[in-house]
Amino acid sequence: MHDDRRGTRRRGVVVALLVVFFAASVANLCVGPVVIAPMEVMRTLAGALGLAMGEPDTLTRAVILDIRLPRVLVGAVAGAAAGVTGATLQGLFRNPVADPHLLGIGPGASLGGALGSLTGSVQGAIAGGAVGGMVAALIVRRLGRSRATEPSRFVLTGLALGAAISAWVGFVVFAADRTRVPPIDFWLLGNLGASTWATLGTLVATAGVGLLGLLGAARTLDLFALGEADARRLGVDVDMASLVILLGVGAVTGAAVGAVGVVVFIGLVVPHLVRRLAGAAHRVVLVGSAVGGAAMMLLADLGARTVISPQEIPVGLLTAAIGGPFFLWLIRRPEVPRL
Amino acid sequence: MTLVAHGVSYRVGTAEILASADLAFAAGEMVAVVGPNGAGKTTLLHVLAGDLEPTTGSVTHDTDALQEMPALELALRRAVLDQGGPQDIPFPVAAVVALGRSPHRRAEANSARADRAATEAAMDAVGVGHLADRVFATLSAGERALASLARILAQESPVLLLDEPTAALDIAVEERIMAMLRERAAERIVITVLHDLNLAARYADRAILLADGVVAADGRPEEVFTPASLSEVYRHPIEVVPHPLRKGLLILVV
Repeated sequence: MHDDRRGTRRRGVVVALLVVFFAASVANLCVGPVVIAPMEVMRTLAGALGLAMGEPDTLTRAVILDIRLPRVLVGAVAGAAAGVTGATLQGLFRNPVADPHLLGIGPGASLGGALGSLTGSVQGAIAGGAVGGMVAALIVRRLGRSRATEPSRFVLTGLALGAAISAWVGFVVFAADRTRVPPIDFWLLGNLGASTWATLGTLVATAGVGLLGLLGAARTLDLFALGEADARRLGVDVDMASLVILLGVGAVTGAAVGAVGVVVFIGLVVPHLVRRLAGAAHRVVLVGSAVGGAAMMLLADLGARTVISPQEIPVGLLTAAIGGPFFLWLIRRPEVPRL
Repeated sequence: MTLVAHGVSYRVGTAEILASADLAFAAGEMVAVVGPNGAGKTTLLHVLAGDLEPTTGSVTHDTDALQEMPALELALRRAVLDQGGPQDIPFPVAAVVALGRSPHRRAEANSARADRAATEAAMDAVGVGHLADRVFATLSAGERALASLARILAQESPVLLLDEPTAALDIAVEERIMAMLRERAAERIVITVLHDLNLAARYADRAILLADGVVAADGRPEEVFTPASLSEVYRHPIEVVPHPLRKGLLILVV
């Protein structure tokens, strides 16, 4: 009976997050310099899928299908990536403040992405980001070995590593050809403005497998909650599992950073929120963080596009401005474990 | 079914924590490992569990060497209740106990129904059914010890290695748990590290007395728990008398 109640609650939380995600998606498709009515958006999407529902005019079609839809989808994948990788690292290190961007994996991905974008292609940026993220993840693995359970030192080490790597991103950006390499604010604060269908295709091809793999690691992460010694005693090859999971986190984070830059705080805020609402079982936390991360990214991008319209501000400014205080509030609240 | 240590020793640097121990265990006996602090009890347990690789010698379960076994195979053969381990596990007790079923999940004969049945049976055996929905991290130390023990039982392995399973428990619960473990020992190998010599005398069929990494005595409690050997190993006068109210021994600190 209690199991049923818990299951109902978990499903309710995921459904609620899906509703927020769809609402944010539709809002992003409607709002902008040209405002398009939701019905018009639906008609255009239906038309693109081959369902005739009357002909929207070509401008509307172009704005939605060529500009806004790829941006929404890229944002959704990058947001899901941020939510899932944050939740994964928190579970792997049993540390509530673990996050790829705090531990240097994000900056590593920035450096790789900046170097990759010297090729002048989004494919290069995303592939470079994935490689940079994986290399940084391997460095974090060495650090995590001895310090993961000591939160302050672990995070300080990650911050120092991240700051040092970010400086190198700056060198690359300022030394390189400005027409090829995105500007420094993209690498530090993120921006969805350059998203095209090519971005989406490369992002899905690069991050998709990793994301599915991380979602499949839920049970292993549950076992890590018992500590590495007991996880091993229950049959987990701890070294191999942590290596594969960290490489997955590095690749997924890196691909997302290559596509949209560094967008902070999603991976810290969303998993905590999901855990508060639906309990700590990783199957739910990971799925909820994917949907919630996508929703948070799209809500932030809605703000980024409209706050000082027609000018756009970096989306990471909004996630930090909202996510930072929200995270402080979350971690200051007395821990009331649920379910 | 047997678990055998062939001349195992364990060294850290030049310190010899365990010195060439030869021990054989078979199903049907409840074994207590006793000895002063630092005698090597926990190290012996971890070597027998395959958690620590012995510096010399080997441990075999039914003639298969533990050192060469993959983690999953090992998990089907033995379960270990540790003293350490995180206490802040954020899952409900029922979910924590169910994690003990993980080694079985790939087995063809296993089913979700079997997992549920084993999880419930383990919680009932230990007496934590009423805590099933409580989050592990919010329990008292004694309740956490019981929930962890239930997880070990849910693993349903033929060898149980327990490091002070009753250290955090009150007298009544302690007696109940030791009686339950003794029952299980009929068909399994149950080896527990114990500090309480009287508990060992009451429930163990066999006691192993360790001193400075060496097996000082190994046999039935009446053979091992003599005033002379205990006084010498613990470096404190200890008297042993027949228990006035029941069968067995009563060990007294003088």
